[in-house]
Amino acid sequence: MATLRRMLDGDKLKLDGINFLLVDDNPHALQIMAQVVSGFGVRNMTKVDGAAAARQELLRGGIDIVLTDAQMPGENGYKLTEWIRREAPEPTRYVPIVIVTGHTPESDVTLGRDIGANFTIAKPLLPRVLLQRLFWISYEDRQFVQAEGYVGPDRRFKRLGPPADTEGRRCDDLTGDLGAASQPNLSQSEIDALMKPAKVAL
Amino acid sequence: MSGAIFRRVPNKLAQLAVGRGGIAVGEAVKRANAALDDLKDASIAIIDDQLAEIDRLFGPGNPDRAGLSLDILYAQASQIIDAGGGLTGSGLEECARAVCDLVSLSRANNTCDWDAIDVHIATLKVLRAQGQSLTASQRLTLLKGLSDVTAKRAGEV
Repeated sequence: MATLRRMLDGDKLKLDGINFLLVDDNPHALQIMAQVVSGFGVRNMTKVDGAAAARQELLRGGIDIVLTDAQMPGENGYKLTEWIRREAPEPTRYVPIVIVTGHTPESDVTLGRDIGANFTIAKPLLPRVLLQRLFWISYEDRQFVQAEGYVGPDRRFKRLGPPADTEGRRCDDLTGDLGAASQPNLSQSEIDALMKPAKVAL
Repeated sequence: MSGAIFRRVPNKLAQLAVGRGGIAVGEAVKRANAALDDLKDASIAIIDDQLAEIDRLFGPGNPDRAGLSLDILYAQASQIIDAGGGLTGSGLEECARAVCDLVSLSRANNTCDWDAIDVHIATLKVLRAQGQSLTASQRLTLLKGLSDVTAKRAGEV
């Protein structure tokens, strides 16, 4: 399993050949995303205001990474992620996905992980936080898993939860129905603890 | 589908982003922060607009607020979070997140606690006006007070 190390200021990344798809219904938030990635040297980016437009772009092909807002009217970022992982054609379904969200209850972060997002980032979008995730995606060697209950990057974590379509036996097992968020927001380090792959005894 | 299939998949970032050339991470972050500075005034204007709207619609001065959907408050708080980078170190986005927590709790429990909402709105206004001049511990005290209010309400339901 990959070791995710903290990037150093002297580490280099070359993002000018990478095609970014940026998804957010809020024009200002979309502009913030675009400003940040252009600061990273990204030249190729497509900005769309919702999941439907994102799907069209993804079907057209050529997208290398998706940054999507979580809360969008209609089809949200989680539904888009699910569609990419389960219904998009290859190789689009393998594209790295970073969910950007203003509201970070544990249930939402866990949902993002369990539908195949690579990382979740808390808003407001901070350049160093986003670049660290791009750095991890660039260096990680996680395998891609396709199974009945999960499609996405290998997410072997400390707690796997119950198998699909079962209720689980522990009081803290999550069911498939997310419902309204009722937990406090997680900090970025708490989000990372849930999202980062870790060694487990299988 | 029976069993899990593990496979290596193409990762264009691994292929193109790593290796020769590119810009140093420290420089990339610096440039991105500079690019964000261009949006700072617009971000602050959005924050102020949303705060004014929250106060107008959901503040104690609106006798009709009980008829409004809290989804509007959630969306307004979300916009403050989106633009929160414009007022770094004010604690405003954490406070807006606390508003989202409160709305989520209200949705989950099908309740609406106007006292709690009033406290959150008042804290948003304090942090907008003075958040950046408060010490970290003062900001933390304010925000902790909000999470205590929400936790207390959750326990009471």
